[in-house]
Amino acid sequence: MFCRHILQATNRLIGQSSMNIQYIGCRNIKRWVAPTMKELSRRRKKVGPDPNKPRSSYLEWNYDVELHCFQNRIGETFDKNILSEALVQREYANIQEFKAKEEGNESYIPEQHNYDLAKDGNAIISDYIKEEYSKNYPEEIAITVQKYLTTDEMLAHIAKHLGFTDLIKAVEYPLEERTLADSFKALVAALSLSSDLERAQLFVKDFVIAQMNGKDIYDIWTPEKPYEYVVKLLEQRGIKKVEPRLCNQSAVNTILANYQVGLYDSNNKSLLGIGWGENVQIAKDTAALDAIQRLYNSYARK
Amino acid sequence: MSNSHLFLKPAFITTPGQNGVGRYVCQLQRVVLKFCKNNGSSRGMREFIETKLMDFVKESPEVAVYVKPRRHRTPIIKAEYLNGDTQWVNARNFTEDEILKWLKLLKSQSSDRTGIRLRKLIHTDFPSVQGPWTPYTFRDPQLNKVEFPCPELTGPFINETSATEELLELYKRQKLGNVEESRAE
Amino acid sequence: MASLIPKLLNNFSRLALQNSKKLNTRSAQVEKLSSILTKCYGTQATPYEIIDEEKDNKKSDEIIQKVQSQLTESKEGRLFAIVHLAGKQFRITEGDVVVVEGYWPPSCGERISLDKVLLVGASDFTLIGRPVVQNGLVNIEATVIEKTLSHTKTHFRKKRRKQYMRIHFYKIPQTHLRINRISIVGELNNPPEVSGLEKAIF
Repeated sequence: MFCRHILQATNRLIGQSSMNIQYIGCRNIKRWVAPTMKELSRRRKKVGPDPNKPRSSYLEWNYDVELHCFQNRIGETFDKNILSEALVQREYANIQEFKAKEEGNESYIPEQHNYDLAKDGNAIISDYIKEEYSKNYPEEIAITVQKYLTTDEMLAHIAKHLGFTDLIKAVEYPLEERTLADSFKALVAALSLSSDLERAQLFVKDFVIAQMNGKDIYDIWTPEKPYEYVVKLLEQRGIKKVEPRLCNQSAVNTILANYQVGLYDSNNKSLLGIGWGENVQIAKDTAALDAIQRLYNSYARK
Repeated sequence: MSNSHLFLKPAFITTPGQNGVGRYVCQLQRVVLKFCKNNGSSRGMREFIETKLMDFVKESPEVAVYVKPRRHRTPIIKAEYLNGDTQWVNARNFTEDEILKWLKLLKSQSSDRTGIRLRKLIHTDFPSVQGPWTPYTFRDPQLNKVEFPCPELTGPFINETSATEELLELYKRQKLGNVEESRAE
Repeated sequence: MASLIPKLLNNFSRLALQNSKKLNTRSAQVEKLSSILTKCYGTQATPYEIIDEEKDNKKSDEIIQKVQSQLTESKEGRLFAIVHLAGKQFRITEGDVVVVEGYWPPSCGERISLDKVLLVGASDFTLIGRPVVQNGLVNIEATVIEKTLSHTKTHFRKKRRKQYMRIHFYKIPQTHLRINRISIVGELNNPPEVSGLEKAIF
């Protein structure tokens, strides 16, 4: 640039245009690039972020391949028709049919949707969870766990981590939890139809019951009045008189008071449960909860 | 060793959706191989697609592999995981072996872990099985009956045996006969 | 070879017997406090003498019997173990994730049994190995869920006043391992006659 100016200046001075002006081009970022980019990004930010598009709208998308990979990922084989049925939302199927009618398309085959499959799947999942937990815990706990695991939120979470979001044909985007949960249930039903009930139950065990890993059952279920509950429970098992006793206490006159209460069997003076709390009542309840936990199978000392 | 000088995000171990508990699920959902049909930087990628790609696809039937030719752009490997993470690797001037290595690494990962430092190498939900220590764990219950201040419990216990007592003990030991005097292991 | 070390306070009770003669001369309250007073929490090994070996064996057999009955009734609850993996030791329970650093052959999805168990514990008892618990006793299963690279680590070298400075950036391969199950399978106090020959090739 600089050289060109000098050349032009000397040219003017000499007054000869026969001298060749050598334009020495420089390979640098041009002056106009930065302001242009700034303006473009300003306009982009003004419009707002790009809306998220579903994966199926991309160029690199092959539904059949994705379905095939999905089956391999889970480790199960499905009948192709049943699988595609399980992944179609009812509203979507209805709208497709409506559109076809509007267009006057007579040879349109209405798509099967997953409403019925979802109901069947829900039954399979709930029954299996209840069955598994009834082996070691009483009915109330089994039912509470079943309710916890079959919520839409939980099933949607599992479905997302198996890759359902891109495969489901639905009306809305991004997908609602209800849609994902329904599709998951429909898949379980589809599996029981394609293979057998046992495989479907194994699938439920591996993916739904596995979500209880690391979670304490007694965080999900607590009896309302622990002490009365425990007394009833122990009566059933032959321990008629239960004595709560204060084992330890510290910092009694302060805010951070601490009482440790133990529940003892009056006959053989054995310890049934021990718990601590800010006052004696809370400590007694905690001890009752501890006793309940010791009675049922999985005992983890707190 | 401090970590305050590092610009990495610290995080604990996470597993997407309790992966190993039931059956193992490969966390890589799909891989897109973008390359240029002509440019020299895509040569390795093109050779990989021609030779080793089919073997990789056969070995991993749970990963959807897409091949996307894009002119005048560098070759890229873009991976999408089941938890929604994406990771892209610039494959410019890679050899086919390098590309295969990267693909194998992406397949065995569960999310994009670049720029994340693991704080601990263990993750437990049940840190204590026998019960954590409380001030009451080894506290003798007899201390509940003691009236404080108790002069006997203030200082250390000094066991002074008189000479007579020691002789008596020695006699007792001899009397017993087969006595094995051994130190605790 | 594994052996069971029961949590006995025999040592302390014997010491108390030896010293009770002395304490009898003191006040009544002090006598009651004898159990508290004679406790010593030192790190030195306490000396003991075996007076009646049969009685001792009977006592330890009782304890082993109690532990065995808990195991047969499956009432032991959650087990934890200390396992030796790739030169490091980890304290593991069912359901937790362990990261093994460095080159480790097992690949993703493989189910592995961890054999070098140094200690197994439940809420009521612990089995301590010397240094390892016997081979068939404990069964620990784990699944490999991930093989990644660590964050970028730096190795910085400098020789001062010599214009020599090098930074080496490197990443270590890491394997994430999910512990599926820990269970005590064998019979207690019944070690096999000959051990260590399972992997021998004749």
